[in-house]
Amino acid sequence: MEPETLRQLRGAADLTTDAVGATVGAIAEAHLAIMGQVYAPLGLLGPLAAPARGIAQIQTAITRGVYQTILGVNAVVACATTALLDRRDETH
Amino acid sequence: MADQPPPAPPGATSWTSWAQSIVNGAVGDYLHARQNGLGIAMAFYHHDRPLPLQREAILQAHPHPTTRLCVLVHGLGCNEDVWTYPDPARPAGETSYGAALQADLGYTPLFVRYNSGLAIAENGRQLATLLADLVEAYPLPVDELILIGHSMGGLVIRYACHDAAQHQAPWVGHVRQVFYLGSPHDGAPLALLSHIAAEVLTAVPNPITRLIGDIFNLRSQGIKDLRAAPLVDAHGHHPAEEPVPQQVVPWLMTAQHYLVVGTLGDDPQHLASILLGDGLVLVPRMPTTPPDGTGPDPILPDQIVCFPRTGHLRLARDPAVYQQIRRWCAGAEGVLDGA
Repeated sequence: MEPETLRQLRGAADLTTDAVGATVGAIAEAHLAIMGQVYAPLGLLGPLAAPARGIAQIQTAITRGVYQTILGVNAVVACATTALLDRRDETH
Repeated sequence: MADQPPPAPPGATSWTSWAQSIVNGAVGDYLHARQNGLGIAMAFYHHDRPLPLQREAILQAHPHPTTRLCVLVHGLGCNEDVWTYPDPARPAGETSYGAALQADLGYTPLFVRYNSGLAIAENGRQLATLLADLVEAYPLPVDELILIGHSMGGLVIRYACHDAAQHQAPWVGHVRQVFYLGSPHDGAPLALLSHIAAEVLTAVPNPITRLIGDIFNLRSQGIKDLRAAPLVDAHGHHPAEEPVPQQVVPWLMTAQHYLVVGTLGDDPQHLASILLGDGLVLVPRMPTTPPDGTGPDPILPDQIVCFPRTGHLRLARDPAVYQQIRRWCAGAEGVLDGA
């Protein structure tokens, strides 16, 4: 494989990692903001406020966890790709 | 030239080169800032590879160089392959404006590839440097230089000529003619529309619209620059962050400038043609005398030609457009010979 091709592959891998990270981050932010809008009125209803806050916290934690997992997998895939390209680089 | 093979177009580029050029057009400034390997460094390209600006390399690419050079600069998200089209004279062959000018008028064609996502002024500066290096490395003394820019490429050329004139670069004195094919000298409405859309979407207090607006705002500086006429500050530099008086990039007064524009409709005067232009760029207003009143009008009415039923991309690869460029080149040749 030519050095220029390897450089481009590294670039494509980095760009994909950045794009996935940025997209997931932006979607997570929008998701949490929408959740906040849904739970906000419930917080105003006296007897429902406390349970609603509790449910919101649980759902927020689960949602954050899901997005963090995706970001984690993205990071692992990025590392694996870099390692693979490093090996290709060394063998040439 | 009878014993030579017909001049070849710049050479077919691979799909990966096209993909790279499109990504550069979309987020090229980000790639440059991150030093990403996909970022394209501006260079002349020959057969899908950068042409080193060394005498031997130029001779290898152009075994019969001439003292007249023709430099072609593509537009946003494209590469030199945008100039290639089926050769009307050879059914199975391909040609380009550069190759045809080489065959008909003896110009040696050179095709630029660059990161079209960078600020247009930055690409202009890089092109000025590249042309200076070319003239220095070229195996023959350069007598004449013509520049052809498609879409954003025309604006890059305007900035390059302005930068070179400011710094009194020797190459700019060789520029005789500049051809702008579908270049948005007054800004591109689609770029302006996307700017307004992004502003509105991010201003609306809703997570979804803000998300879409943020995605819109990821577009490159090159795209953002297309929304208005090319500007420089009062000192001749591209406006950075500081608010300084701005003026439209002056036309190079020592060269002839020609505008080629297209319209989607049959009648350029029809409302649809006026509103849509070639699909991306509108028919430009007539350039005017510089604000200080010095110098003649840079572009005369007979230096603007409109091609009906010609879309934006086709302006870079149309036999009729080539014939017009050839006529202008041959006309200037006659004037020069007569002088």
